[in-house]
Amino acid sequence: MLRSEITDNELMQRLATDGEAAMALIFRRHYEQVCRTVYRVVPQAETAEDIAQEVFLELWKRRNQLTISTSLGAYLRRAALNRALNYVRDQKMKWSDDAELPAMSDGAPGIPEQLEAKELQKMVDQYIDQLPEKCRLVFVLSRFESLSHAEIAEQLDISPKTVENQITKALRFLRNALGPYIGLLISVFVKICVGASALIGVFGDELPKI
Amino acid sequence: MSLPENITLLLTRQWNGESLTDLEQSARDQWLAAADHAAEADRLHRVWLAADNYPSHYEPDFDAGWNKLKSRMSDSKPVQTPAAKVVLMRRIVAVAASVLLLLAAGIWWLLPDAPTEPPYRIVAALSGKPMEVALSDGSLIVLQDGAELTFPETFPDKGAREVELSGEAYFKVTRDEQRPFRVQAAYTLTEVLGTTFNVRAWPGENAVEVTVETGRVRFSPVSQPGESLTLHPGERGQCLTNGNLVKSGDMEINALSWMTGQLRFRRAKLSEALQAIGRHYEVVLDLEKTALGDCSYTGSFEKAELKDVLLTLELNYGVRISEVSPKRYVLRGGSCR
Repeated sequence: MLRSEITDNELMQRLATDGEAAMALIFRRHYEQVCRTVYRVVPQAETAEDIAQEVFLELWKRRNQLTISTSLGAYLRRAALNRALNYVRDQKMKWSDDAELPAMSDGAPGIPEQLEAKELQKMVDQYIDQLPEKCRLVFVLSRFESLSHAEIAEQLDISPKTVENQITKALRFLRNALGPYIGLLISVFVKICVGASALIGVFGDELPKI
Repeated sequence: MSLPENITLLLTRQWNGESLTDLEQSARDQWLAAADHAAEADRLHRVWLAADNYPSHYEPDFDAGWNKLKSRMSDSKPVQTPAAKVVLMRRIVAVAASVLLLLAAGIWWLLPDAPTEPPYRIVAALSGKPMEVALSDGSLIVLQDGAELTFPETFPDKGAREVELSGEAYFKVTRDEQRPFRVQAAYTLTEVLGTTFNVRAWPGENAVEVTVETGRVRFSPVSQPGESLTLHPGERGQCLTNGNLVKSGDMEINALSWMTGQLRFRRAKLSEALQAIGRHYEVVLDLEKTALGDCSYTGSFEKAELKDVLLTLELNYGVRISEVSPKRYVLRGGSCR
């Protein structure tokens, strides 16, 4: 994204006069982030996108009056997170406390010599998705929304102690599940950030020099 | 090897950019100093970072989303005013753009209104701390985090100055005897000429509460404007959801603790102190031995964390405090000392 592009601030001002065009740019810039924020909490594409719609429609309806004490991106993400958590509360999801973590097969069955970055990323996703729902939700709120333990406890109406148990449980599970691939994780992460999906060799448990 | 829970949690908080206390830092460093521990912490950090693109498989349907939004946008006019606001703002006529002074940390946008729009604004405090808003008549309002204020850019030359509040705010109203100042909060109306007072009207609570610091305030349910309380400095009025009004003589000294961060108690009854503390930290504190409620408590806290307040109570009364359910604590045993 070019730095000389129109800023969010200017876009907000233009919403009033130049409505649809400004909204199109705001949507282009923030829709994916808003959807992803919701989807992490409510992992159903259709529902997540319905909730994201409401976030943007609300911005549109209130475009002439709204003053926001933070950046537009932060405002939209916060609005999205609130709506997603409301949805979770409205569903009155019942989580079983003793939901079992999926069993780990002993020893990784044949680590491939080479692993496509995308495949590794997919594996990380799959392991997160395998977490029992309450555990996954707590982990996601801590990891992506940087909510404090107390905030997560309040939002999900569980005790802070449960929040801490669940975060630890999630991380231990992921650590064990990804054990054989840990050497790859950083390099894959960097490669994905620069947009390449290169083939990466296996470096065992040591961090390769990049 | 797996990391102990307390260290795991300290590390995740650190990775999230939270600051750790000196005690926590030394606990972490002590653990990391042992053989292999730093390497294991590094492995866990990689797992933490690797989740960054989650969910990498999910991509929203951008075109479908935009097309849907576009059609809904053309169906929906900008919020002129929700029904309640129409009543409140009815008398406000379009006036020339005015200078509105907004004082707050963070970035501000002043959105120009299209000429046909009603000239009012909504300010939402969302940055996690109280936010100040200055109105065109010089009145100053401090919004509690999460509160929202609706107000006209410029008040009319004649008639009342009307604003609408959701949540809690402290008002410092500039005196103008010709133009009373009215706050509509949920189902209540508060009217003043020039005073300082606090209005608490959070959705979901069973009463709206007004506490007066200086001046005189008239407080009534919207549905029965004839039924009203006149409140003087140090007085507190409550309006219950059924419209009943209750007045209490002594202003809760800590009513403004949300803004000042200060809690003060001077020979207060412990039961009342626990109520104020609970309200400040949004928790419930129960006494197992109810007789302790009559103990006297003197002390003050300034921007203290809840755990430090609880520790102080434990030391003062010899009680043992435990969290029995989310945000609910029980104080067991103890005596007045």
